[in-house]
Amino acid sequence: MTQLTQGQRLPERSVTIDQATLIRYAGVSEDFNPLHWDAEFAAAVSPTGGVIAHGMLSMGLLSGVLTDWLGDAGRVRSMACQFKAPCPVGATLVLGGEVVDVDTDAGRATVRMWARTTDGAKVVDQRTSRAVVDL
Amino acid sequence: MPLNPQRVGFRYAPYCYEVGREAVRAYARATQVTDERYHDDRPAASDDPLPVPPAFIACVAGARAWTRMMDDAELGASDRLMHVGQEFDFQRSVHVGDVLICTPTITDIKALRGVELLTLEVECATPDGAPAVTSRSRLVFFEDGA
Repeated sequence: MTQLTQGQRLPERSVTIDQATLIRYAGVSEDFNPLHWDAEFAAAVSPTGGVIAHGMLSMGLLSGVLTDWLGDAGRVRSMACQFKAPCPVGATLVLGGEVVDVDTDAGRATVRMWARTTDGAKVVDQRTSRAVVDL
Repeated sequence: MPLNPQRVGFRYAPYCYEVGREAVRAYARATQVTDERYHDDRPAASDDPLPVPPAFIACVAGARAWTRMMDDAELGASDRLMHVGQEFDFQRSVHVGDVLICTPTITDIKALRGVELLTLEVECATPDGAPAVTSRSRLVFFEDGA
């Protein structure tokens, strides 16, 4: 299992968010909001004027980046994400994190997490998105 | 139509969610988890329960809780909404095979610069009442025509 020290960075992962990715996520999460698959509906409602990814897909991808690195999903005590910018279909997300605090007395570490598009849009905002994990 | 602020504190009917291995496997594929334990084709080892990916709680505390909220005529939620934030707080780890009793509650509604911000909390507990995980979804509702 990964030992945690302050300043450590998680290996970044890049994921291209195509329509098939969104449909697959809609299926497993049962989130069938047409914002994520219906271009006509999205044109009327979406902040980008087009289909955008589920915020929870970004969080799910980050959750995977975190637990693949930790080696045990059972070590995660909390996870909080703020979805700031929309992620348009076709964008590539870069997902990462950094250990910002290690509290050996409490046996916990805080990991700052982010997801941004290759254009720099802050899909998951690193200033307000954190996971707390067991050491 | 604005949301009904009287709905703050309203607790919806609980529902039971059984954490299934195939649901977790499908979730792990959809979110590109590489840990091979989520992709193992062999029978599960009964003495080594598999912890769920933390964000899998979106499946536990998502669709059915959201349906209760969206179907609540007293609340008046429209489908013009965006999910702007999400928290999961684990009081214990959740594993494949667990049974969770999930209770959704609207914990906050506030107006903010022409939109409304609603917090939907879902408390998930073991069948004997021990807290397991709390989900908090923050949703922005846009006014019609906004």
